[in-house]
Amino acid sequence: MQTMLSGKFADFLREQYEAAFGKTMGETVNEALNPESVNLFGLQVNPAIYTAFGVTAFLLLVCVLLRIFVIPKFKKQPKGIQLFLEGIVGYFDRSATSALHRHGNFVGPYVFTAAAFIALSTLVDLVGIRPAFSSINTCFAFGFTTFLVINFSGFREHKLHRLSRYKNPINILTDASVALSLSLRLFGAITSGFIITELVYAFIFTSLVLPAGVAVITTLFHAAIQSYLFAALTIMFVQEAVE
Amino acid sequence: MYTTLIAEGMPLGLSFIEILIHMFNLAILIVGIRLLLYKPVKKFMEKRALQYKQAEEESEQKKKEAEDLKLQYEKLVEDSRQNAITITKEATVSAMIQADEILENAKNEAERRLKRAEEEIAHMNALHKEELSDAVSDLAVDMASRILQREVKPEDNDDIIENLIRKWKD
Repeated sequence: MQTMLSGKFADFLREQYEAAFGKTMGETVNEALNPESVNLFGLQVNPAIYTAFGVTAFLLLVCVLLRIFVIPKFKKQPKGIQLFLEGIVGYFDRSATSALHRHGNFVGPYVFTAAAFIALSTLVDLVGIRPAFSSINTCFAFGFTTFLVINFSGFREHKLHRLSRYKNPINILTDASVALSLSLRLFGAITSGFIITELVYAFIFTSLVLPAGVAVITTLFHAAIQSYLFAALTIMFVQEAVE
Repeated sequence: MYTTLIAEGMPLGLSFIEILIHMFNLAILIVGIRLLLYKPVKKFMEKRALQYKQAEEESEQKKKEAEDLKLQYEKLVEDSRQNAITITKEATVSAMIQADEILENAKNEAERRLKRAEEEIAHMNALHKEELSDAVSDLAVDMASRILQREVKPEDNDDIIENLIRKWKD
């Protein structure tokens, strides 16, 4: 009985959706996944790249403003914005240096930057901007960069002895899967949230109250969880490489 | 469904150029955040931590010095107390010795004075006896002269007088 009712409700939604937008939900999902390319200096690129540039520019601008107006006025007893900055920088620095020791100085800023970028570029979905990680290219860029960071730290610690681990071919797959798993985890989590949000907003009668809950689950949670996961996994993988 | 996910011949719009652009973008962001935010905040925190550590070490050092001083002073107080006890004991002993000496001296002086007094008394007794003997002798001579109606020289009656005196003495 319940199955029949839910099936009828889904059919009703589908019909309503097609009647309202003149296309199926699948087509909407495809459009979300494959948006129309935009021009970037003659290159046809995913529009998410502009989000990435915008978030980068915003973060750098904030950093410049903090460097000029806030950091010089730091006091011995932190409060307000100083407390927040010391809290997040201290957290990432402690996490990196406690696990990676001397490599923490290099990996700490990387995971801090990556986490900040992931969080902010996901949160922009709340104001209707396409998340940067809705493009597989952004996710792969982060995955490959982390792969480079892991191997740089590994070679820095063990020099050429690190190559000896590839005597066992399974390690080649293990290392390659790190980049892939990090990339696809980001892409799957953030894109799914983005698509769900798109669908929710698409219906007039689900776009009134539901987005408040859906946005929290699919955007806010994802922004926080994916940032934390990416940072934690990066530190863990680098730790494995330098052990 | 799969064919709809293909964009420009690559699945999901995969593009190596875009990946490189994103990596470059990320590299710029890492350098920017590291130089503008991460490093200055970390440097400030490390500097403050160092200051707190130095202050703590200084505090520990001062505490240790204070404890050493306290021990020294306690030792000094104990030494002083022992010294005071020793001095008191020595003073008591000295006073007792001095008192004994004074008593001994006083006793000796008293004995000396007593002896001297006795000697003086003896001397005075002897002197008085001598005087008395002379007076009795004169008196006896005078009486004998009167009885015999002649002058009796002292030599005449020496034996009689001496006997008399001896009897008187006894």
